[in-house]
Amino acid sequence: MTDGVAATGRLARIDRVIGVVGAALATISSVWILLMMVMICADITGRAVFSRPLSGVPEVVAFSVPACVFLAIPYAIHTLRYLRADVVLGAIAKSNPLAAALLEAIFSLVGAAVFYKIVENVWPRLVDAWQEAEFFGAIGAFTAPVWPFTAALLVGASVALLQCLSMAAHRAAMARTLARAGPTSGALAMVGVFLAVVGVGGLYLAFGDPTRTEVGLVTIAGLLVLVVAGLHIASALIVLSFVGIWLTRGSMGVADSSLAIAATGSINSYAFAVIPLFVLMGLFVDIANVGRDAFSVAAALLRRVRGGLGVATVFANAIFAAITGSSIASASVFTRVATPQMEAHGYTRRFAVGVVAGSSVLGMLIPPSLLLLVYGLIAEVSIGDLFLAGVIPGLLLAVIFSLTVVGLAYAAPGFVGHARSANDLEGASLGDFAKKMLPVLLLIALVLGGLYAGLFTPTESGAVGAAGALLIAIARRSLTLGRLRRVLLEAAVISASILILMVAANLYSRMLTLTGIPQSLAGFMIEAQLGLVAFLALYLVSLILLGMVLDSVSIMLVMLPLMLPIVSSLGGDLVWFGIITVVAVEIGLLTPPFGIAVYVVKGALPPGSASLAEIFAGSFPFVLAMFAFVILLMAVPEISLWLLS
Amino acid sequence: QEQVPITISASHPTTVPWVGALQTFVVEPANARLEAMGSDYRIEWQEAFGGSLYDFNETLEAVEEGLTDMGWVGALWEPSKMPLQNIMFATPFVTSDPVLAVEVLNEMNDTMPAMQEEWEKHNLVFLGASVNDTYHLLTQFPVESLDDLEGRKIVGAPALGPWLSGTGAIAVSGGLPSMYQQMQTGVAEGTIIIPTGAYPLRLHEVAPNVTLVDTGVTTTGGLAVNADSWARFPDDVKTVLKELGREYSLGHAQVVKDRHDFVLQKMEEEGATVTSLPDADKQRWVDGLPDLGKTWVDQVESAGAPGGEIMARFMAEAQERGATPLRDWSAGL
Ligand code: NA
Ligand code: NA
Repeated sequence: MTDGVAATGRLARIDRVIGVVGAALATISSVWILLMMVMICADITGRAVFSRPLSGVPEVVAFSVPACVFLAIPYAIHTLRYLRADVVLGAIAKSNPLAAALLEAIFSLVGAAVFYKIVENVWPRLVDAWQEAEFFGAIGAFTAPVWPFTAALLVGASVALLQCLSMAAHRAAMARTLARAGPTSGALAMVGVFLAVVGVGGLYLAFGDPTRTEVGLVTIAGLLVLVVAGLHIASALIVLSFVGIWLTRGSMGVADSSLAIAATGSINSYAFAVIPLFVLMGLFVDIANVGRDAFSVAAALLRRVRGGLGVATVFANAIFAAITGSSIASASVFTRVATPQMEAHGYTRRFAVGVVAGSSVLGMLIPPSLLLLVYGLIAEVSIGDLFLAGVIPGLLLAVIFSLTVVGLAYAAPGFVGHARSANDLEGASLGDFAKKMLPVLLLIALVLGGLYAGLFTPTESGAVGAAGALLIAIARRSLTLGRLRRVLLEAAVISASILILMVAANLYSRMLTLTGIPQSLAGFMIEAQLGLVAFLALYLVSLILLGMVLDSVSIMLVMLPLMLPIVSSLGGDLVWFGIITVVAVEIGLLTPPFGIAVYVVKGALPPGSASLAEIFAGSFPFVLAMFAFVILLMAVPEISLWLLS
Repeated sequence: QEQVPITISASHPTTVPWVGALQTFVVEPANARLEAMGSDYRIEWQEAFGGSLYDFNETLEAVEEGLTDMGWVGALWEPSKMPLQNIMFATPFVTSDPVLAVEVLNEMNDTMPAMQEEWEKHNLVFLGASVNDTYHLLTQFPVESLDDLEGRKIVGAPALGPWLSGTGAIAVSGGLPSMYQQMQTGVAEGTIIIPTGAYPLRLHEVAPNVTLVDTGVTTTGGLAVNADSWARFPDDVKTVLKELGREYSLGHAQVVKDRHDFVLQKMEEEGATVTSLPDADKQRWVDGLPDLGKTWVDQVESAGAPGGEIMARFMAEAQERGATPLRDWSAGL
């Protein structure tokens, strides 16, 4: 027994050391992100003011993205933000902690295998880049060596490997302690069932001589099983893609190089840099209390309306949406700002958190929007057009959400709570109003004004917005050095946890292409000679189903390459289709088991308040509202296209 | 009959001439060709175009590492790994004929060991060069002489930046997807671009002054086969692929040439103003450029390749086929 304690102590010490190293790497990543912001702003200023762009900025920023992501991954794993669906695992942990510990140990080992494979296959590239003095840029203009970026990626992946191993050891030790303390048969049975299911799939793939299509189908089923069981989503995607590519191309070497290509290449692009920058901007805005102020002004204005605070949350979200591209930022800001106020005024906790999660989807519909950006990149549609097309649907959805809140406040008081009018809140004087709204209006003016004055592109606007929010936070004296460090670290970790999913989903969608399933599905849909209406109905259902288990970006990466040609052939407008896709995909932010907006709200709440189930239930009315809204958008394309004509 | 499964892929959709031609000149005729020569082998094609297997910045690695058996390799995005294939980015104003350009590059790749080695080193078997049409200016302001470019922000692929030095224009770097946006918002006031790339993106809507500059075509890489896959192909298949690779190269060059002319006409029909930069201004442009040829040769030679010899051979081969360069890029060696 004492041996066990000593071993556990040793393990804990090792884990602490790895945690410190991971935190240090994440700090490097976070400073690097800040530097990207500075570089892009310098490039913009140079170009606009001195007619002298800083050459090489887009290239350096592109190469920085994978490096930043992998540097922050170990810390994301350490702080349990390597994303996954833990609903089932959470339930198991309650009824049978031993089974949960064993499964956790297995999942950590799978993570270790994934990062081992990445290290193994990226290492030769580092050697190559070093020996051949590989560079990027253009001869005669600007060149920079590739190897430092590859090296940073490798260091991050190596520490992530160690972190996963340490966690596996920790869980295994826990399981041993539990096994000594209580019965083991139930746990072993549970883990046995899981391993048997995975084993049957594996044996079939190895010895069943499956066709390409069968390989694809097994990996899709496998994804469902593994993700629902609680394996980290990036790990599940990468493992299944690896196996799928190996089997369809008949060589493990090809799977190895695909993994290396995905790790180094799939997010190596200027466009992906907007994700950390938008996240950073959201966090600065949070620190500067811009979200709180927008909410308090709205609350004061609506204090006499029943359900007014709920409407105020929607309204503040819509304003906030104009300066942030990510629903994650919106959800985390308003959880802290709006839920305590609503609960204090008699709203049920379930409804209060539901409104926050629900209205956060506005963040990715009202431009700027990360999802529209991703869509534009995949569909090769003008991002400017998409952003413009998102304006009216975004505002309309805000109105629909407000009506939903007020309607529920009257029709379903039990669900909403007493929702007293907030007469006790002070009315806003004009001066107050101006003072509180000035920063947010300035920020909006800076970002939107700069965009339309031609000073910078939407891709660059994240950097400008982040810099602007930083300045506001400094001007309001709400930024201490400690807070700055925390915010930067947070930005690095959030970005890493999102972008590692992009890497994994990229590999997965390529594997699916190799299996030929997308092509046959597209072929099936074309042969069935569905009209546009039937096609859209089928598409909507698929997106909602996928939205339950996959994140928004992965869904778009998997679905769009096969759907876009069909829409075009059926005569659908690709901008309109983009708006429909984004709204339908965003429904998945709110649906169980994997609903990222709900997870973010949960993460931002103090421990012990609303459960995941309560948040899912509270946001369900908004799911219904969005469903109706998608159908409206499908029926009336003009809502999306009116501003373009 | 025996089936030989071959995956062929590209980072771009078949609407792009050098990808569409993979279907028309390679995939479609292949089995008929095998049958005609009495072979028992048939190719079971699996096509993965449009970037479904890999993006534009991974075309070399994807074929090199066998993610696909064969595919279009975009050397233009690999200045570090394939500098020799990119010689035409260092030699503007040499020729505006895409067919002539691929003939020169195919010849050089067939006969110069250093050029062959560039493919072999990356585990590739070269089948035929690919090419872009010639570059022109699309601007928001009329360009009547070179002086009109003074202080204007012109967006273009990073590799084209050096082509603008000496013109007084400010080179802003940007890829195809961002150009419309950059010009619409005013971040750039014009672009230096190939018409076949500009037209589908409707760049002539935001930059309706088309000035024919004719900086010349550039070869962009070519069709290549993974060497391990190549080793497993039967001889008949190899023979047919070699033939078709060359037909692809010459065939798509002709398509590019025709498409270039057609697209310019469409732009004009849709409201763009098409004018030509006077010859004297073109000469002034090319004379004002730094010695791009020497920069390239120095860079390549520092990596151990016979840059001077290749540059001289390139200029000679082009002129032998009727090109009339506005500047001899091997003059400064
Ligand atoms: Na937004
Ligand atoms: Na979901």
